[in-house]
Amino acid sequence: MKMVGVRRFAAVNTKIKALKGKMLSNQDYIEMLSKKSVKDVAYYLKSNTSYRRILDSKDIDDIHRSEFELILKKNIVLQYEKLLHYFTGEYRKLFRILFMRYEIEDLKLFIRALARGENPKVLDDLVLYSGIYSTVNYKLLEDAKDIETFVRSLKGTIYYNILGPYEKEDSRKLTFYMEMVLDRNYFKALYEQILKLEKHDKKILKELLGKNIDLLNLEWIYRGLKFYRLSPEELINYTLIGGYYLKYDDVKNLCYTKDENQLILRMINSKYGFLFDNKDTLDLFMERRIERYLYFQFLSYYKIGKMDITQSIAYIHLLEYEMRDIISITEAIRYDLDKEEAKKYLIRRIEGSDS
Amino acid sequence: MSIEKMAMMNVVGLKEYVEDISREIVLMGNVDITNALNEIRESHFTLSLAEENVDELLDMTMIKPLCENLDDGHIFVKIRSLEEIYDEEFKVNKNHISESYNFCDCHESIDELCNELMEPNEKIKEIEEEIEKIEELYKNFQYLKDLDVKLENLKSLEFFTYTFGVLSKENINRLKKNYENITAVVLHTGSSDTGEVYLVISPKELESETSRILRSLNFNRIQMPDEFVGTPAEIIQKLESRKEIVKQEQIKLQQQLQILKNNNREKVEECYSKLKLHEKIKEVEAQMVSSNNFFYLSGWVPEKDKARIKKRLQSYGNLIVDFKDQNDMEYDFHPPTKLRNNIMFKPFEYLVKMYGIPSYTELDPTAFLGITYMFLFGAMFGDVGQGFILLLASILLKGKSEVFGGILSRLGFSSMIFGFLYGSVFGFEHIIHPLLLNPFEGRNTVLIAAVVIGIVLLVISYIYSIINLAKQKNLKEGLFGRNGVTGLIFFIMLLLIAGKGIGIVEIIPTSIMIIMIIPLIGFMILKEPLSNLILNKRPLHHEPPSSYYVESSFDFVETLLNMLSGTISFIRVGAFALTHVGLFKAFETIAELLHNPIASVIILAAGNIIIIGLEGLIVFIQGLRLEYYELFSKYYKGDGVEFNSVTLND
Repeated sequence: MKMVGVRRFAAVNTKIKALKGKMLSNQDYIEMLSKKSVKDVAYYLKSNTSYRRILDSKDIDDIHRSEFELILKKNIVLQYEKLLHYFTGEYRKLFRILFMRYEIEDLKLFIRALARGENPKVLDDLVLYSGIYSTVNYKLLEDAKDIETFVRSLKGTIYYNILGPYEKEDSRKLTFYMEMVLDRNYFKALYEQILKLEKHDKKILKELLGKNIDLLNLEWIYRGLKFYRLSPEELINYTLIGGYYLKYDDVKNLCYTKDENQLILRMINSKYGFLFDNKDTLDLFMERRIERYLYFQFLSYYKIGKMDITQSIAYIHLLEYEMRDIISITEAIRYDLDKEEAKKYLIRRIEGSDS
Repeated sequence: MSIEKMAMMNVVGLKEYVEDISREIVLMGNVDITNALNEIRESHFTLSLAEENVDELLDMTMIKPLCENLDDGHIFVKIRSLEEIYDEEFKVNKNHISESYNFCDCHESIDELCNELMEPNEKIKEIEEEIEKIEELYKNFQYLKDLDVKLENLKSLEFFTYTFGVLSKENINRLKKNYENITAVVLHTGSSDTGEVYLVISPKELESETSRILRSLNFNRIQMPDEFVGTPAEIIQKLESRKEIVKQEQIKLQQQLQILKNNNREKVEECYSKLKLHEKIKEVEAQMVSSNNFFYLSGWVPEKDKARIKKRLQSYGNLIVDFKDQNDMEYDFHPPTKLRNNIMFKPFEYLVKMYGIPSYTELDPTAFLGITYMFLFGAMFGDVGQGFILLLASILLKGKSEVFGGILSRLGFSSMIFGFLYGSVFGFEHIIHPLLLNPFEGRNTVLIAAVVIGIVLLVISYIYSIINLAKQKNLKEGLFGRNGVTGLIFFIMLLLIAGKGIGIVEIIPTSIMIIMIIPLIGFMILKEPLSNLILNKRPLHHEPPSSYYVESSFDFVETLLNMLSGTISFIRVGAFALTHVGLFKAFETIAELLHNPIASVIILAAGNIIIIGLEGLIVFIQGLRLEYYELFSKYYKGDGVEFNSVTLND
């Protein structure tokens, strides 16, 4: 344990220990799964858990699912902002980039609305992140009339260079490409920032991010082959760089496989075989399988983390998975799934749920 | 040196003169307007009950705020855009507004001016846009200038399509790693600030595949307008000559505009001045009230200007102008404070205001603060050279911050005087002979002198406090309080006892002093019942006696500690004088150890810079601390309101 680690992480890790202690327990999920409405779930969280803090000022008697979702998402942004105060220099920049994800989510909302020909003003209640650390001018974005004015209003931000080529393009698939390019740049920025950290932290994060990238690439190639019918050149160009087990040449080979069955055949005996080993639920649970894999990764990293970056990164991801599971529960209620069925959609494993 | 005497002015006049009166008030610039409605409600607005005032008095029963809200926002927008064209902030010229005028004419002339000046200005903007566009294209063709192909030849290719664009470094790598599968020829033609520029040529049959691949690489296409023909190098030349022509035109237009601007200068200034005056007049009117026939106005004016103001106002018809001073209003007399200081102390008003504006019944502490602050700063930071640097810095600051420059120049001057007394020039102590003493050699003298000076300053503060309390007719604090007469005598007694303790002198025998001190302590603890007895007020205590005595006993203990610590506190003046020398000695030692004349000079110069910057700042703050904490807390409250007259100059 080096001195620099203590200086940098002693305070934030203590804070995170306290925050982690307030996270929901398995029992909480079991209770929520047996609720009959979104209101009941919100009420449970308000009266039994640390979510009291954010729900206290809200009227939850006739809360809508989307409002509830937004409250939960905004809570995560709030937690980020709090943790941000504990970091300086390159570490602070790393967290700013992690933040970017929420900003990008908002940009995607705008892009989709504009592509549908809607006035972006309707998004006012949906916009997640317009806090003190945002780099885009939300007022300006809301005034955009079409993709062209939208892109132009991003001038001066890092997004302008990324989306610039689409300013004058006219294509039906435009939104798809814009979203791809935003995501790709997020991961690129994250990867580049990780390289600037201390050696020890760099190693941990390269591994964590690398596994995440591996899985996303696999998902992308699988879907590209099966649903989008993209050319191999396009497939490879949209993959992410910085994989942990799958290096560029592996990824390239996968892109040039004939179809998705070939891909499954190649991957079934690899580390990531779990993605493909159940043919019946392959498409349905692919995303959840990725998330569950990462969830357990973060959980085990959290346990071994000492005076380094691990605990902070693990905590914010665990928090995000907590939010997603709560949202999944409300969705399950909405679609009237029974408790056993609903469990399958949760990232965490509850009472041995698995498939 | 003092606080200006004030009087309350009440004016009643016929409504038709309201504009004129308001204008006069703005132009005179020495009336602090108060809300007339409030004054009437508090019955400060009283007229003498004479025959000739009957109408005005009768009308006063049905008053309402006087305000006609004219919307002249758009006229201000126009003035702003004129300011933009002139690229400067207009100033009020009083020559244009000394006479009465009709404000509506002003609207028209501003409209005219705007129309006249806007058009050429718009044209210039258009030209600027064109230049920008040309420069953009120019930049794009620069990337291709080494390409020796005519653009029309590329365009006329039958089986191939071409495109130019920029790729980022990351995407170039992606492209390179997958060359074998790309459906196009890719040629590097130049570099831009966002990446590398490429010419991509692909068979027309594979155009859609190629463009999909390019899109997946975030290929940023460079737009090539169709009208350009020839090789890129030729096009660049054409663009250059076009730019030259446009620039000429721009210069011509700018000259035209400049002539227009000069011709209209006078008019614009006139309109601006009138507009500004109009704005201020509205400000004054917002505070007035009116009845059917009359308007009512009230405000504070300096006592000495009373006659002049009355004369100027009464040139407008039959006005009633009535003044009231302290004798008329007695308890409700709370005028704003207007400080009046000579040029020597004027900048120090800023430091006083930072603490608070003196109330009307307080002594203006500016002069005392000015003298003592200069003294304390100089004593702590005495150096001829460094003081001179501060003086120079203040001259540089003069244009930017009048107040701060003023303070700094006085401090620098004081520092120089003490520099002569201490015999110190840029830290060196052998260049001139000290007129008084060398602080380092007379260490004990310096420290003791500091405390003695502190005692003198504290005693003066007590005297200030006693005068203030007397002016406020505060018997309780003035006679028996910790900062009143009792406090002062007690302080002197304590000092005498302490002085004897360290064996200096014995003026009064200790036993007598102790006998004297006991009743003083009693006075301080019993100040409330005692003063109430004298004034014949009942009840003696405004709170339960038990809690009063607990509180006032502790108050006494606190007073005692405060007196001791406050006195010792001044030792810092001597300590900083020594630090000042010591700090330089440290740099001098380093310089000597280096045995290198250039390095030594650098070290000594750096030392002086650090001393001036860092120690100068510390001394500045410490001096202020002594003023505010040790001295102001004795005698100064600063809970007044500043006199704020309506003028054109803000």
